Amino acid sequence: MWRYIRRRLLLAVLTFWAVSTIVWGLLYLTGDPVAILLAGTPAGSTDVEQLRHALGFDQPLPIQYLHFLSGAVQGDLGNSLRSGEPALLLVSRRVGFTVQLALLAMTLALVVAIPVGIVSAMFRGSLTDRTLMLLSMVGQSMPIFWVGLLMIAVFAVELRWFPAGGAGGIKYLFLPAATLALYPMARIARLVRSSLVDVLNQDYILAARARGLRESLVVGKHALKNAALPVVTIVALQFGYMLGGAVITETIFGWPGIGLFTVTAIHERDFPVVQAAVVLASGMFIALNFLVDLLYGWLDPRIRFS
Amino acid sequence: MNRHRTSRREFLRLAAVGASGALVAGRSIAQPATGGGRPLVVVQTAWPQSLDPTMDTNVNAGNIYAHMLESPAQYRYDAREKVMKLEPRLCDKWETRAPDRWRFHLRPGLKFTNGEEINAEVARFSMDTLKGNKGMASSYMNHVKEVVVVDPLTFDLVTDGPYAATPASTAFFFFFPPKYYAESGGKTGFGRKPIGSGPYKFVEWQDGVHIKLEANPAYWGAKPQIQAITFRAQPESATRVALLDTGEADLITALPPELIDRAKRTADIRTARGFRRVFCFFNANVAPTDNPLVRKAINHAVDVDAIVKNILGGHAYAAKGINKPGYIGYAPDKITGYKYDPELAKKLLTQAGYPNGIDLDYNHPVGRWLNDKDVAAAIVDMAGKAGIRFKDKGVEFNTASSLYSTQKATGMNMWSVGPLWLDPSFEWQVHFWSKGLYHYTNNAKMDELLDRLRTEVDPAKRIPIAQEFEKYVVDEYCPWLFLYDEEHIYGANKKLQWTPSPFERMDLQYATMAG
Repeated sequence: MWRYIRRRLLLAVLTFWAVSTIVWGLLYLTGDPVAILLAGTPAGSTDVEQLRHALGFDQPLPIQYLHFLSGAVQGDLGNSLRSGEPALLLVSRRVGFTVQLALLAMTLALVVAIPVGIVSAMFRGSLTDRTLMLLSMVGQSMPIFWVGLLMIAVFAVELRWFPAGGAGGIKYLFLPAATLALYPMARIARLVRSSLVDVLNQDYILAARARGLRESLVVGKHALKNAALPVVTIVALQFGYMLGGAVITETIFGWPGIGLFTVTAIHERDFPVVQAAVVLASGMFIALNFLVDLLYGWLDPRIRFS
Repeated sequence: MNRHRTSRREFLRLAAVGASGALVAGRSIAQPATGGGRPLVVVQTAWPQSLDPTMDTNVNAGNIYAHMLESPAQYRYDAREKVMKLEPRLCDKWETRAPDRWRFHLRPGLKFTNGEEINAEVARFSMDTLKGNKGMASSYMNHVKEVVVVDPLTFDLVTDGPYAATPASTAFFFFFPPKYYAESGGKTGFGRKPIGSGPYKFVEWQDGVHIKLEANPAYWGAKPQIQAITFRAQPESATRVALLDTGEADLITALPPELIDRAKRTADIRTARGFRRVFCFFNANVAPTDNPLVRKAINHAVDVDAIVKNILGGHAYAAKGINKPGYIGYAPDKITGYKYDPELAKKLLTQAGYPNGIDLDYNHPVGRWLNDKDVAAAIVDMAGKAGIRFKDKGVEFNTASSLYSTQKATGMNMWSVGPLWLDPSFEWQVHFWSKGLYHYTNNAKMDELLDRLRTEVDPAKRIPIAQEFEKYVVDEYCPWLFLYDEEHIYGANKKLQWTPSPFERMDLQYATMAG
């Protein structure tokens, strides 16, 4: 097991390094960062040169990269060009919002999706199964911003149950979380159903039934655990995406998570903040995947010994 | 501020908004009154990064800190004459002492809300802070060489050569309390918790939730009627309208025209002709746009009035020149401009040596200004009928920005210029000065006139210079395809007595709430 953990950890660190390097490189893809920054100000060419020097953009690229890397290792990803505060600090102020949203959304998704998937699998082919799967297909294919705006129209504007947008307490969290939950909810429900159907067709389930076990025990104890592996993968991936910032949901509801924060920073050309946000989001994603890898090894011994 | 149009997305959005409209229709929504207790809730498009004006120069930040911080002079909108007027603020008067030296006289007895005195040393400290912070605003005071303290209530601004717009520029020179600025940790601390001397004072900034201000009871000037303001941010315009519907917002910014009817059900629409001018500049240094006849032909080939009416729904103002209403020397009658005349455009092209038309690049950002993609498409279409074949190169804003300011743009390029201090020399030098940020023109006469406009301190003498410059630039040199000014559109609680200005500052200290 230790060897497995060590290997996974090394892989995670390498991935993180690669992502950071790409993020650093992306900054240069849109053009000269200093020129972009000063667009629309009364600055002349001397200001451009001065700012380039002040920000270190006048140094050779390899030196700039080394600076970035040595800073990154020490948790310093530069300062915001618009507030002077450390970029990582600014982003970390928003992480809490994103985590809250992701946790509630994932909880909502799982609470609905797992029972729906189980019921569908147990009664596959029935009217219930078909109705539930049709609903989940609809859920999976509705554009998220459309769902969000409808939620606002119905639950905020018409019924006045929740605020239309913003943050400031649990009541602000519910509509964005419900919106964000819809897609993973549908996806997980379908996946639970299909992997459970696969498992239920296997011989050992037949054997369990032949032994006269109750159906709830057959599904709950014997089938579910074996059907869990692909579900864990998808749940982790979806959760990772949510932690990276649910840009559309956060934008529609004005939920101040890191997705919306990053988009604003891009519009405002605050590159250190964009870098910090992307590095942090990828870090969380990689960490989550690492944990899932460990979970795999625990769930399925074949994985850790292969 | 980012308004873009993607047909499918827009369709669905409008459908959702329409659905909410149908739900709201027929029931009257009582908007709670903003009396003494409830704060006025203003919802903008994004959160500021800092409330230090040397750092964050975005309108979303300026709208907040300009209620708390003050400057020697200020601009105030005269709704009757529909112009912005420069007025005394912390200084009650100023005069020139030499071509490169302006003397400012502070009002006596002024204090910051923490008790620190406002004196000439504060002016010096604030200038050093602005320049030393190396923030977004550090180039704003490039023309000021030093602040000389004459006596406790008098200071001189010494400029690097005569600079006529010096008093106007002080409307953007905010004063900081030196002791508190240092104690709070400099720009980062002050930017999260500013202290000023203005009609409102800072209460709280809860990140991502709200920024709260309350009236300053000890304010030296006219006291505001609205006692508390809460600022929030909501990037999605349909949600901003929903906030107005539910009474969660009293004032929202950047209302797109397609949501006006929707917002009108429960709120008032307030508009102002903005100072942001949208135009296309030519690279006048390379063929074929190095030929003024070609540049003029393109102007004759595009029907700007039709674009304003049909694509912008009338929410823009066609502008035939480069000056703006309220700026010195604004006299649109003195310039000829370019009428829509595709036949004349063809003739001019032939005269320029292109009887078979021309092919050139058309760079433009997408999603930056109202319906910009459709405006660009209309321009390509109209020009095509006159033999001007544009290659439509729509890109993301930052990409366009980098292309333009690195002098690599060719052909025609869509861009905009917004105001800072409302003096044409400031905006014109960015584009028409051979040392400006976008020097796609290189013309000795323009440089010479611009230098005179910058340095002539007598306003009466500046008017003819500004007019001569505009006439030459528009009717002879023709460096732009002249387009339009955007309109600022707000949705407001019907009880809010407030007029928006062309300048994107709200100045809510002058607003009142009925009931």
